[in-house]
Amino acid sequence: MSGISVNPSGQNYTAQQLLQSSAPKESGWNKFGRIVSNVASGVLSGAPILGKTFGGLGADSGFDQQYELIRLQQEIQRNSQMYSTISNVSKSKHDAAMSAVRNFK
Amino acid sequence: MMTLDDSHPSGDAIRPEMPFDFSVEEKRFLIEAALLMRDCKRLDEAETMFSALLPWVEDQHLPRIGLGTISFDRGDFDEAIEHFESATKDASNSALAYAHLGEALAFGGHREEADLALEKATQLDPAGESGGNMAKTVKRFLESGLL
Repeated sequence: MSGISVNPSGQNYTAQQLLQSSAPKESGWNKFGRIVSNVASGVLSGAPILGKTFGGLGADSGFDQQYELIRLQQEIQRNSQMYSTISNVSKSKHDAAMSAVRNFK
Repeated sequence: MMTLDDSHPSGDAIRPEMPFDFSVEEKRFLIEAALLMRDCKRLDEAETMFSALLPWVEDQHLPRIGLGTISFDRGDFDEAIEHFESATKDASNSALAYAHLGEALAFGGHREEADLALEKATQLDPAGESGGNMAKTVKRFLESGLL
């Protein structure tokens, strides 16, 4: 059959890949914050599995590990929040300074 | 012999006799260059530039803010507060000066005065582009308890 192919490369994309390709680029600090958050959530999502795996090794070892992972996630979130806030402050300072220079007489 | 950086420590800048004057565009360029020097952490050079600019500009609040941010970067919050207070006297309607003053006061441990200065900056620039946004973000930073 002749006609215009809508997918000439023949590749199939998942919905997630399409969403990622159209997402706006992030600034360095935002990207850093997102990576840190993803690492934290990834660690946490593994926690129940770890708990189950190591549960039989000792009475509270699974619980202790989960507790430690949650504490770690909270710490990472706090750091992420700090970087994000500092980044916002820096940007607003820069924007205000440039605005003042433009209006300088 | 008088040089460009013959500004008095008290802030009374002495304008050297020169056979030319700077245009407004040139002054803007020099201020922006000094800000870049500061952001590159070449603080001594930036300080020299801001100090040298003082006698050449009628409205001195912007170079004074620049000098204050250099002191702030060096961790000398008391000196930064002096510069920013001087800037608020030069331009009492400058939200940028009050926002920087609030930030320096907060880091210097004067939280109540910092809140007042940041509030004043927000009132002076409700739209946010000339210092109001900076005051708001600094305020949020302080409220988060990260300091």
